[in-house]
Amino acid sequence: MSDSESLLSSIPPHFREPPALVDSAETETSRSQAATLKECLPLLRALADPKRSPFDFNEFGIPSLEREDHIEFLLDNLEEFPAAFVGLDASRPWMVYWALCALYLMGEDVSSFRSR
Amino acid sequence: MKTFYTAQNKSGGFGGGYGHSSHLASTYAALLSLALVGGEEAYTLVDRDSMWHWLGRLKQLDGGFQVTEGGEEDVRGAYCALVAISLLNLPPALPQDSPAREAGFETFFDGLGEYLSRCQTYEGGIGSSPGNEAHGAYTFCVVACLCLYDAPHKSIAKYLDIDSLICWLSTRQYGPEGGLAGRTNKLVDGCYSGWLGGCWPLVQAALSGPNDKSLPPKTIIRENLYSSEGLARYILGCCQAKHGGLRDKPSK
Repeated sequence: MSDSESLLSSIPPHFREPPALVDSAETETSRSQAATLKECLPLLRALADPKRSPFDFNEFGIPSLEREDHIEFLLDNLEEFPAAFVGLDASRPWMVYWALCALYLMGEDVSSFRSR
Repeated sequence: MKTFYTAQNKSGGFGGGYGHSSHLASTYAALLSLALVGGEEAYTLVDRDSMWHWLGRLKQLDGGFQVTEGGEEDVRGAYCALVAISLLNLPPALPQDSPAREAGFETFFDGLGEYLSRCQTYEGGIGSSPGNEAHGAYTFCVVACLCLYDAPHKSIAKYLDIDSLICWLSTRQYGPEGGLAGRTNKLVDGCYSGWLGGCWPLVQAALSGPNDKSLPPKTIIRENLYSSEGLARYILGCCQAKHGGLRDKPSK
């Protein structure tokens, strides 16, 4: 067993191998499904990627939640938007809600937004 | 608060911004945002009386709700309306001027369970309105709406076919991706982690029965009925974008 294969053994096979049975009919649907599988598979097996640090993963081979990056992204989303975003004007309450809700779920104090 | 102060209309409800007509989706987002930031001033901003009258005008003769006056009627309307009614503790009685009184309805809840029930399809999932295709986000709206209507073990059991719902929900999770797809034959998409993922604890609560230690539970659920491990692998492995934020799938 190669090093990368033994690393991967911490991930159950059904989360790292393509499905055993695939319908032989080829349609637009089956092609998009195959394309989605192809882009997900390397990420699901990222534990074996020599470019990734083993510290990026927990004991189950799952990458960590990039909490700081997400918080920064959400705070940016609560700032003013450039003119190109005018099409989303009617969605402002949604954008505010999703950002606040996600910050709250990650344990951030959102009471500082009361005055906004 | 400055954001939502200008989005509220005198005739009730919140629009997308100043001068926009009120819509149940923006009202839902506004109320929950105010609840999240909290504080006396946020709570007193909401005009409950005009909200109650506005919701009365949205209630329809078939039991559901329009999303905006004269607009479409679908299960988003029903869910967002019940969130507003329960969060603001509005009177359950329909205002006297509500057109739905013509159908013999006296409360916001009359005819609602039956309307939601008609939205469940032969697949087991739930569509936006009767006759439409089963879809993850609308299924969440209905399941969550029923949980506000009454205790889940009562309302979900009464108005939905739970067995076929669980069958449909289960087939929404794909392997090896681990993520959830919104409809039959569609692709996994991170956003359904919220919509479909959110259905599971509610359905499991319906199966487990009341949270009363003196009563025997209806069904003992020892672990989740879906693979939370698979979903965690998809969200954390495939959906995290480089500089923060979550994406629908790696290429999007």
